[in-house]
Amino acid sequence: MNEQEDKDKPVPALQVVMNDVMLLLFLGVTIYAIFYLIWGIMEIATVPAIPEEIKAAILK
Amino acid sequence: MFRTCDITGFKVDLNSEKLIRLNAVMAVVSLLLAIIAAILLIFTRYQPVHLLDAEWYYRLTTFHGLNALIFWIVFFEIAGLYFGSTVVLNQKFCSPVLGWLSLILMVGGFLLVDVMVMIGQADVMMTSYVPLKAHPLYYLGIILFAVGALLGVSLFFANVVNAKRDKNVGDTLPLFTYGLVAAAIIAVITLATGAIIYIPTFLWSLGLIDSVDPAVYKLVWWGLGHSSQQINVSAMVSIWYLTTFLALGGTSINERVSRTAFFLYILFICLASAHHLLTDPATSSAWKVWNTSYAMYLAVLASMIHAFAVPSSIESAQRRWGYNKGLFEWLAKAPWSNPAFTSCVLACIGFGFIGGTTGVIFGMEQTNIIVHNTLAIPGHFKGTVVIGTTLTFMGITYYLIPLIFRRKIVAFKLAQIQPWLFFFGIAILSVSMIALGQLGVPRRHWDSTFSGGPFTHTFNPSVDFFWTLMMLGGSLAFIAALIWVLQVVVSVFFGPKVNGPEDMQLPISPLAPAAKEHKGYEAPGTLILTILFLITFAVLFFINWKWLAATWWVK
Ligand code: HEM
Ligand SMILES: [Cu+2]
Repeated sequence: MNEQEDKDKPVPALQVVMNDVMLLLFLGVTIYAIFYLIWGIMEIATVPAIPEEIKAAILK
Repeated sequence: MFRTCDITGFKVDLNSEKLIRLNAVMAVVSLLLAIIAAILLIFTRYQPVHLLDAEWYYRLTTFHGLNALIFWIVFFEIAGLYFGSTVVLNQKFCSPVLGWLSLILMVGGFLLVDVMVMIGQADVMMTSYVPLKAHPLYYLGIILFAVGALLGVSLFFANVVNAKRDKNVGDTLPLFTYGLVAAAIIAVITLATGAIIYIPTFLWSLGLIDSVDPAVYKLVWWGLGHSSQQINVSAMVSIWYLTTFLALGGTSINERVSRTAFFLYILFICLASAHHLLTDPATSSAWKVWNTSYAMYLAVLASMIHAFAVPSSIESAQRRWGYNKGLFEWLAKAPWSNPAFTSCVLACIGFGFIGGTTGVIFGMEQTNIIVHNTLAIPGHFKGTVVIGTTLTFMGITYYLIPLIFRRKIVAFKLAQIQPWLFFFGIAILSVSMIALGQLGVPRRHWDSTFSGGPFTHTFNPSVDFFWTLMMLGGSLAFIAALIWVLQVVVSVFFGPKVNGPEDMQLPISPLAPAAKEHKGYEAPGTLILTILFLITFAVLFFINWKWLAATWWVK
């Protein structure tokens, strides 16, 4: 395959994505933020607070 | 201002060259500090000597972790990013002033952190889990360092964008630089996460905030602590490709697949941070399993692709150079006299067989419980970030000294054996730490005999053997690392000047010739090695599940 042929062929979609540095940056940040950070923090935030009697018993 | 390199033909921006040099020097200084602390730790954990008292043990563990894992690695990576975005692309450094600012911030942060740790104001381990509290200046130091590094990474992006604009490079970046793009993207994720967690913690240490939630702290901190390891992996793999190219004229036998592997890193690898929270009660199994299994295996797949692509590119190039006999002539006749090449191959082997296998096994919810918080964990990452990343960085430095510092390598014979010494030292250290951990020996523990404690524990008697082995491996690694540091310092400051290609001690190979005839598969030797790796992995996997089953009786 020579250079010219290379230029005429349409570039595959995946390759367009993979060549776009800023798009990659966006995808990397978003996937991580959703699955790791936000999902994780939401789970921690919904842990019920320790009942007062038990807390008092431990701290006693 | 450019000079044209008479060895590689690259146009080298002198500003860029200076910044690369200074960042590299800081990296070497950090590594030196780290290994001095390391040898003291080795002889503290080795109970017959038990060198330091408890306070200094924890202080120097903190110091070792920070200088090795953060300062050495990040300074070196910034140097690498500048190299990959200017020299390799014949590109001008976009803003030397900001380059200097980045360096000043990083050095300032480095000094602040190290001083605070050494004067006993930050005995919090490098993870500084709240509610452990350090002096505010410690957190400030980390923040300054991170801001400086983030600035450096932004300059990398600006250089790459400029290079595309100036048509110094086409739409598709060279594979080495593409890998660095992956590293830089992960670095942005990491450093942003760092800001999210260190800024509140800093304010808390100043008394401006009441408290920082420990569960959230740990989750966000590991988004920084683990993801940053993936910067290392991407940078390391990129250097493997670069070295194959420099030493043999080899290129990936399927570049598109190699690129796709970097793409998978960008998308999925940071999720694996969740393996640090596998025993934490606050998050659900769904969160843990999604992040450490399903998503992470896509990143593991990427590592396997690289682990196959790098040796196969070596094999393919060697075969085209005529080393075509049998399955392994290409390996036997590989350029073992080239220390950069040797380092990369050894790093690849160690990373795969020690770091990779244990990483997948320890990162799984079930088998993690056997080794959680034991010495097996530092044992595992000695197999990734030390035998892999550190050895790789050491190796490529053998090219940077003549090409960037324009000096010959002093005592070159020593340089040729140094990678082997370091490899065997760390391999022994790492495997014995893993064995100790599997037997239940805790990490970050000053006295594992628990003397004077309210309870005690009798370990399997074989631990004594592994303690000795760990001490020997650690000492060997220390000596090897020291040789490297001395060699770099002496060469850079006192070595004879490089005046042209005739002074190159490490060859730069022309592109390997095209294959004369196509028959059969291009890299059968690598295929055999890969199968060997998979068998090893399966055996270790099996042993760990068996071990888990034997830990508790189910009646
Ligand atoms: C001569 C080479 C080295 C030796 C002998 C060595 C030895 C050790 C020892 C004995 C520990 C303490 C384990 C414990 O008691 O819990 C340790 C921890 C550690 N090492 Fe190294 N090390 C070396 C190089 C490195 C390098 C190059 C890195 C990173 C690039 C590194 C990263 C770490 C980290 C992150 C920890 C964990 C600290 C913590 O638990 O907070 N080490 N090492
Ligand atoms: Cu991790």
